Amino acid sequence: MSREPQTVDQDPRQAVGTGVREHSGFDADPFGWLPRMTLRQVRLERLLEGWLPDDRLPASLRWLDELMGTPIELSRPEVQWRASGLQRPSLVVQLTAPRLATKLAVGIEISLAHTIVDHMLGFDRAFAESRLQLTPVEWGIGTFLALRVLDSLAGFAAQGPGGTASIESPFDPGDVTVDRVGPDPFDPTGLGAIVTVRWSVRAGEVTAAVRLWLAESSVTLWTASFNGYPAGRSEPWPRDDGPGPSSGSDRRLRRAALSGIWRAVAGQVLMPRGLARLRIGGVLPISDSHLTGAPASPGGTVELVMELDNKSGEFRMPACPVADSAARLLRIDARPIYQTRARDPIAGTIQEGPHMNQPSSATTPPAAAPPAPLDVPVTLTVELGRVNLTVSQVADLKPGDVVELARNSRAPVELTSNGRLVARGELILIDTDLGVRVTNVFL
Amino acid sequence: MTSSPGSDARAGEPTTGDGPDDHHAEREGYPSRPTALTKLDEADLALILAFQAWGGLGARRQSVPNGENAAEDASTQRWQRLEASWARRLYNTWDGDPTAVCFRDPEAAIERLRRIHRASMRVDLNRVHPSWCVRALKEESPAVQRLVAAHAPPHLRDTIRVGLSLDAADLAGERSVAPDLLDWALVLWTERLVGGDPARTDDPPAIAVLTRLSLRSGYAICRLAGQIKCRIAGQPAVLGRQTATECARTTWILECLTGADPRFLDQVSRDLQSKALAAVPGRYLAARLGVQTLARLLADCEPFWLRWALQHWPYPIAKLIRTLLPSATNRPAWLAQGETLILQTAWDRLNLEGRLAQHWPNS
Repeated sequence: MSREPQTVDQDPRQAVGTGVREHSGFDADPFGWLPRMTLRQVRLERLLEGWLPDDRLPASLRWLDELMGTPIELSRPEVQWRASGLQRPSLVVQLTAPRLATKLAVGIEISLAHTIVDHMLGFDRAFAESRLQLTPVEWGIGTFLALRVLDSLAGFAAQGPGGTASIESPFDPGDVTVDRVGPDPFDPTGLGAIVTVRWSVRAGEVTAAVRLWLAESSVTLWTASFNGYPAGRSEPWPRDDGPGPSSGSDRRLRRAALSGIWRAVAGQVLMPRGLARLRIGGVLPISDSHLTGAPASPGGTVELVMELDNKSGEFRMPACPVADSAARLLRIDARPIYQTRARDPIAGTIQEGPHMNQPSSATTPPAAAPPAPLDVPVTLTVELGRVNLTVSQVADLKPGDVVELARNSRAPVELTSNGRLVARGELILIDTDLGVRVTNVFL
Repeated sequence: MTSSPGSDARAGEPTTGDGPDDHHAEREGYPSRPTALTKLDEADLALILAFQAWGGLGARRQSVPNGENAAEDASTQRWQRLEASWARRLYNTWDGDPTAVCFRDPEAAIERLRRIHRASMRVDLNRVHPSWCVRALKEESPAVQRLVAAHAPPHLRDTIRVGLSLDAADLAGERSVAPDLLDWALVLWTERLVGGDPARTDDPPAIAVLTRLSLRSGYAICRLAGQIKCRIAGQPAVLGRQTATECARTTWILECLTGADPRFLDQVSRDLQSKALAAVPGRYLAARLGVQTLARLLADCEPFWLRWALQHWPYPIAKLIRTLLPSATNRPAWLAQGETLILQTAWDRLNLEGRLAQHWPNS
């Protein structure tokens, strides 16, 4: 972050994780509309390029060329600091890395998956059939290829791309297991922010994308152990997190990977008559909201909130949605502050009636029956999205930095209670204020 | 495919696989897998065939006579890269059954893969009930509906046109379409349907009812299976007038059912008293009971195969069967055995009476 080289990080509004900056005019920014990349994106791309130096498969995977009977060409990897292409029809290989307690996945676009299997089977497919759905045979052959690639990479990782030195990587392919292979999309729930690496792959006449989805915390571990240059060469710039594991400090590396989920809270929805009144299609006003503008791209103020595990307190950080970003990008207004929690403002709070805590007597009417669980008044939190930030990223955040939420521009907002999802909805305009129309209820 | 009573009954039969007569078997129909692999779904079967075809797994099988532990370790290690329960299933199925060696010829494995792939990637519209085509087109845009209705195979055109409420003017007014676009449309509208290989000879009986018999024969089997259940439950009123022929049939059927599990007989009685069947009109009750028999047996079949088989019957009936499929936790073995006995009795009786030409699939 702030300690990254000035040639890359001189703009204080640089996005965290995305490489996206707000365009502030040609005068202020001589690079204009050029895309920007963060240092860790560059590192990850270089690391991956080191494995595929000549747009070909590495030597240990050349058997794939022979198996298909045609060479496979890869473009340089493109790193996107968000989950991208999760819903595109693909043959998805879902993997678990138990040592890191994380999951990852590889998605091979459907036309490329067809081509690979068709070449292996010597099968002719009409061009119009290249988008037909995958068959179980292709799932099975995909599993076979995944297992063999893991076998090959296990040896390759130990040896290193040049065959001379070992590359430190948290992903030992020997430790990775295949969970499932098929057309089901990868579900990154619970993994925090996701990083997508995309290759454009050409096999025969077909060019399509292969995507690798990784948890951001895993990527942080991976890139922290890589100095951006092949083994044996000096570092091109100072490390942003001090001595890495190569110098023997595993503590730094672990700290770089510690992360927390920050929720972008837009306000609260009061449900005085309980969740039983929560209906699909219902319109709920947002109280305590400083959101303004149009539902498609709101402005105003939100708060990024991270609760501590022991519920004793939370960090809060004011931010505002970047114009025309559909609330996907938030600009930090101030550094995070810590607040102790006298009471949980988000959890359901039972409103104590006059009959409570009063001794019953023969003269007083009998106490009313306790309310049903769904009739208990609750306060729901309206979340625009979430972002997983490592401790080192948070430490480096400063006003003006831009954070990207793990949501797309059309993603619904979420209504939560104690961090748990209760409903989803879409922002709507109620007179001049923003409200939520409920689209899904999860009770 | 998962285990089914039908496949269990064939356990003692020799499996042909890729034996010397395999070419003949390919022309006339073939068992798609050895007995051990009937417990696997299509994707797992393809995985094992892929290892046989391109290396890796076959080492253990070929090395068994010499007892080379290294190859066995390599096989075990390969499965260990799979999720634990998946690996256990493959290991137990593949490595635990000597009949699995029939796939050891790489060329035969590739040929088998190629054949399954070819059959499953393209849907054969001659084997799909037209109501499924109408259902598939319901989700398409009006332009695609008109295009397909105008260019569909002749035997489907009228059904599609009526099913989608298109008139002749709709079809005649369709503009000329670029050949590429026409190809795309005519291929992609079928993507909600699945293909399958009709040449298999080791289909479970419930699948065979759907795929190998005419609709009329399928209905006859379901109805007779339901009538048998009514006899078991002591509800002859459903069966109508008892003629001498009918009495002889009853005697024959009851003889066939002497070995039925008492728990299954109780279940049949409970089925007839269920609320779901109470709403079924009397004249449909027997057929509805037979459909329930079919559903209970289909629940044990491989999902992709089941989906393909259901396409042979009208969509509303297939949808009913789907709703009757029992959950995995509600399938005791005696229930499947009893339902198989009912289905086989109905099949054999119709065959005996000359109303069904085919023999019971496992005989």
